[in-house]
Amino acid sequence: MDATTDQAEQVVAGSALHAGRLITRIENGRADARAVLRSLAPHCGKAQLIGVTGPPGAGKSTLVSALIRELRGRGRTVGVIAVDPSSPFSGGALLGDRDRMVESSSGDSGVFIRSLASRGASGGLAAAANDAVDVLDAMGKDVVIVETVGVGQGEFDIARIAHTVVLVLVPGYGDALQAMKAGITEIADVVVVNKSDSPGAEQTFKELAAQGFQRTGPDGGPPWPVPVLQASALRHDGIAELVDAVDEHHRFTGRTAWRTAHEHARRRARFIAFANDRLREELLETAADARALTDPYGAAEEFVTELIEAHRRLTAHRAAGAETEQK
Amino acid sequence: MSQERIKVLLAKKKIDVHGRGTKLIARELRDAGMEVVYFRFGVVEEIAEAALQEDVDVVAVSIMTSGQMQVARELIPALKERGMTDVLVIMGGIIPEVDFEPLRELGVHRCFPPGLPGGVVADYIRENVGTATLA
Ligand code: B12
Ligand SMILES: Nc1nc2c(ncn2[C@@H]2O[C@H](COP(=O)(O)OP(=O)(O)O)[C@@H](O)[C@H]2O)c(=O)[nH]1
Ligand SMILES: [Mg+2]
Repeated sequence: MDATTDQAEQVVAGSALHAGRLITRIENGRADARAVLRSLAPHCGKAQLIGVTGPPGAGKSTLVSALIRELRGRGRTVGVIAVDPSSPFSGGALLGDRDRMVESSSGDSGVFIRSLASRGASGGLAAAANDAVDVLDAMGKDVVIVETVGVGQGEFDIARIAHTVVLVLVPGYGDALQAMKAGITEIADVVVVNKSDSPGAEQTFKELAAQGFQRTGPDGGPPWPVPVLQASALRHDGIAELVDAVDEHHRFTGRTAWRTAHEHARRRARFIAFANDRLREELLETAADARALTDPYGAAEEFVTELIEAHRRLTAHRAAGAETEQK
Repeated sequence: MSQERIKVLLAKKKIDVHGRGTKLIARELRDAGMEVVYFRFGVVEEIAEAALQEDVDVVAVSIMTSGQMQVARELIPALKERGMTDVLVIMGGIIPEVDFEPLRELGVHRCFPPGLPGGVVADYIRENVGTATLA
């Protein structure tokens, strides 16, 4: 058995050691990891994918911990990918999400938690997040939860990965909340006002619940009325209702064009990421090294024009070949 | 294009309230370009589980309220059992220097006394990561 198949099989068999190491190689952009991912593909697509986003300090990690406990109580295994920002200065990162999840996962082989640093990626996730989710999916986790960085805005990448995006808000954000309302319909499938144990929660909840948010579906998909819930992650209040709402959304989208559109979007993202990686490694780096680059803009323009022209000619040549064959 | 980063698990007992030292070390390592998973453990097994899932290069344990021997006695076998045999294990905090050698014998690669100038821990990690074994 070659190394790729062996690694893939170990992951599918549930080896935490192999899954952990594979995710590291994905983070490091290693070509051998892509081969393993390809072997894993037939084992992917079974997990329910939940995104958890919202401003820093809203209680996302604590809520994920509560979700772990609730889901485990219902007999479902859980994988978690938690992303924190990298320092733009040193490239290092403090990854603190796991700390909040220790109690609900301790000694439980049904839970796998992995922290990722964003490593400069914008959009609230790490470049490796999409593939890391696949690894946990292939491992056989029933549910995979992804916690975003939580800058609060522009975190649209999560919508491309998760079946259901849970937006966590807290009382007392005032103006920030007003600003976020505009974004809610673009990203949130379920809104939860966390820290219901603290003052102002009821007010914020009522205000949001009165909005009647709706998400418009893709072509042919019916709209989804976004439920607004309240919870206390710390006290485990409202968590069962949250899981029910997430499951309801999952069932709803599964019956409609939503799911097809979502799956297509993920495949598309994967094609672009894979192609992008290989082009950069095997073409761009060499091309850059081979040029003087006194005029980098001009050189790039010229290089890309050449590539497109070459690809156009190849396509035409292939089409001609196919025609001759048919005759 | 190398995107490799040194990843460190920085663990501290949940019941230990001393937080300044670990925060300082965590920032120092981050500023040295490392990715630091900070977390508080209840039982030692949690460190090994976390090290495995996070696939860290270094396990660093902060000991402020004693118990270092017991932690080492449980931690090293727990790591080995899971196949984490190439991880660098270090300890720091308030550990009497007489314990340094016995801890080394248990498999802890290096213990750091308090009051070190900044950069010492990061330099040690950079120099020794990838070369360590838990034989
Ligand atoms: C402040 C302090 C407290 C504060 C903590 C506040 C807080 N939130 O952090 C309070 C008052 C709460 C406290 C409580 C207690 N404390 Co106290 N506390 C101290 C004190 C005075 C300073 C600690 C400190 O913050 N130092 C500053 C930081 C920056 O330094 P540091 O923690 O040593 O960390 C550095 C290094 O050790 C190292 N380091 C630390 N961790 C790691 C990890 C790794 C991997 C590495 C490489 C390096 C490393 O790097 C850091 C930077 O150089 C020390 C005495 C002392 N001088 O050290 C006692 C001390 C640590 N406390 C002690 C004790 C006994 C207690 C109590 C049990 C007291 C009691 N009987 O109630 C309780 C513990 C309660 C509990 N469950 O944890 C003892 C520990 C004795 C021991 N280990 O044998 C000490 C040494 C005092 C003494 N001489 O007796 N304490
Ligand atoms: N009062 C209260 N505090 C909470 C609740 N959930 C989380 N917190 C606290 O909010 C802070 C930030 O939590 P964390 O989960 O790290 O937030 P994140 O940054 O969104 O991941 C922590 O101090 C938590 O203890 C809750 O339901 N009620
Ligand atoms: Mg968090």
